[in-house]
Amino acid sequence: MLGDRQAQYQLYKLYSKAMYNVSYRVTQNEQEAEDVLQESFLRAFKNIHSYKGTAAFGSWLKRITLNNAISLVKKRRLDFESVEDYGAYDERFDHEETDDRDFDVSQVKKAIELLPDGYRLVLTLYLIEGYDHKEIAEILNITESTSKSQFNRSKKKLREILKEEFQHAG
Amino acid sequence: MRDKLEDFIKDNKEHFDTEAPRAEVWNKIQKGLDTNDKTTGTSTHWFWKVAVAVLLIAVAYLGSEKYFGSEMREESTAMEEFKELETFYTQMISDKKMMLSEEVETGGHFSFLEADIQSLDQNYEELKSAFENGQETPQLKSALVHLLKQKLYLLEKQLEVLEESKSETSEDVSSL
Repeated sequence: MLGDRQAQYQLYKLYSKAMYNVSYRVTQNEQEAEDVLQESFLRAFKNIHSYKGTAAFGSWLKRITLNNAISLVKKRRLDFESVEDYGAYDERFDHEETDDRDFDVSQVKKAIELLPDGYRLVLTLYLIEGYDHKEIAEILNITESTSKSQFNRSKKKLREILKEEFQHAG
Repeated sequence: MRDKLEDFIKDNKEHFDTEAPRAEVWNKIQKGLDTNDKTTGTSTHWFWKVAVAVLLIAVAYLGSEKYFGSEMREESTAMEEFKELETFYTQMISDKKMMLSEEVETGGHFSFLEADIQSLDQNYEELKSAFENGQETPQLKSALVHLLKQKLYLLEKQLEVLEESKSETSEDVSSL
């Protein structure tokens, strides 16, 4: 058992920070993010036999963490409707945004945190976690076109927040 | 048309991982695992050894790739990828075989399994020989990995059957 535990600790050391941040981006709450982290590692370690090596261990673990974080937020909060399907987003009405400013990680991070849950989720799943719209649709149980339209809306909203909150900075 | 904001987030994604969990989280996980170990009493030591070894190799590989830049990526061939996968699956297969031989003292019980494995081995050797002699195609690589997975699957299924029959036997004994 000691060998198991050492091996598990090695995996925890390697992935805990990344998984905690994945979880924190979804929950926006330190305690909830830690609860999700704990639950996800426990689930992964207990079900290590179901990991077949077809995907990288980190991707497998990330999916477990994301699913746990999303179901926790869905359970505890009711303001998740912004990710619901409101019909396809008509990109013809989407004016091309030009960015004439340089961005700063801490400002963009803060602005992402101010996005509504659904917007933040789709935007971070696409830009930071690296999933494509097909995968996001699967994770959130929405259509691919909803994922795309919500992503465009969330980018627009993010720009608005950046302008409002940080127009005098940078 | 490139999106500057989108590119900025994508290019700096690792800088968004600024938070860190408290040390207590690992203690809680350990406690949860201890409870689980006591309940199930199973040992997965062999699997952990393989999982961590593969992981460390992968981390070392990715680390060196990052350090040395894209040149190494170009040098990486289908053959190298295949050799890594072969090592991984061969290790897992050998561990499973060892577990199976610990479970079964006499060889007569699993002649059907041995026949299946022999047939897979034969196919595998033929394909591998083609792969190593000029037909280094992704399709052939996938087929080889598939055969290794099949072999692993057969051994896993056999171990499951043995586990089940063991637990049924112990239930029968305890009900006496």
